[in-house]
Amino acid sequence: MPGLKNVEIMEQGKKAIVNVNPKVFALEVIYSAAYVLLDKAYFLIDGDPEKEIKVEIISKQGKEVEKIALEFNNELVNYSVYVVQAARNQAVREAIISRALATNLNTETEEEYCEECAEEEALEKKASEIKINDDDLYIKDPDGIAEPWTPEKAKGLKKPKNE
Amino acid sequence: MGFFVVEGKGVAVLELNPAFYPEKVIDLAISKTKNLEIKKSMQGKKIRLELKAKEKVNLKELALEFSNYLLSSMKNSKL
Repeated sequence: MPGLKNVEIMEQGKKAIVNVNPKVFALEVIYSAAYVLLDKAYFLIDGDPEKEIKVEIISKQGKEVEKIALEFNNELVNYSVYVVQAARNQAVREAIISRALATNLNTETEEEYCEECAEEEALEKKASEIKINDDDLYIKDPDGIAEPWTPEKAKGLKKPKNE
Repeated sequence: MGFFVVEGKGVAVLELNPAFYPEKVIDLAISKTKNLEIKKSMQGKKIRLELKAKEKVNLKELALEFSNYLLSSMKNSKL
């Protein structure tokens, strides 16, 4: 498309004016495109925000202004894609963030409810219900090998009296 | 388009469209700028800034650097 040119070069290649259609590129896209090239050129924005935006580009230290103007055009497309993609992914991003926050909330409730503590309590309750007779503790030891090192502290080695 | 230098007065003039350069951003940039005298006024529908440096500098570069500074502060504050 040889006729499609929005760049005017002036002052022997030191200055360029890029005409931007605001219906194609939003103002925030124009700001972003200019922002990334601030180190290469000076930018002044003027015109009608409804009809046509004029971006004046003045080169810094003799840099090729036409190249910068074309780079600016590329950045316009680049940021437009970014804005469109960001709008498309907005729902997904929000879902991820809400999921992450919900996970965080669940962790807090888990801290309040201690599963191990509950199990321990249940076991203690069961243990208190069970009564062990002395007879059950008696161990038959015909060869006398179960004699403890401290017989006075050992339990269940003495034969019950009623046997 | 939006800037010129008055050599006799040692002043650089920037004429900015408030549709692209919000007044709040301009005021904030003026308040943060040191070593520079800046007079703000309205010139029709545009905001006119007269910049005068306390030291000897290139006035054209001064005006253009200030306009770039406005753009960068706008990016940080608005976008």
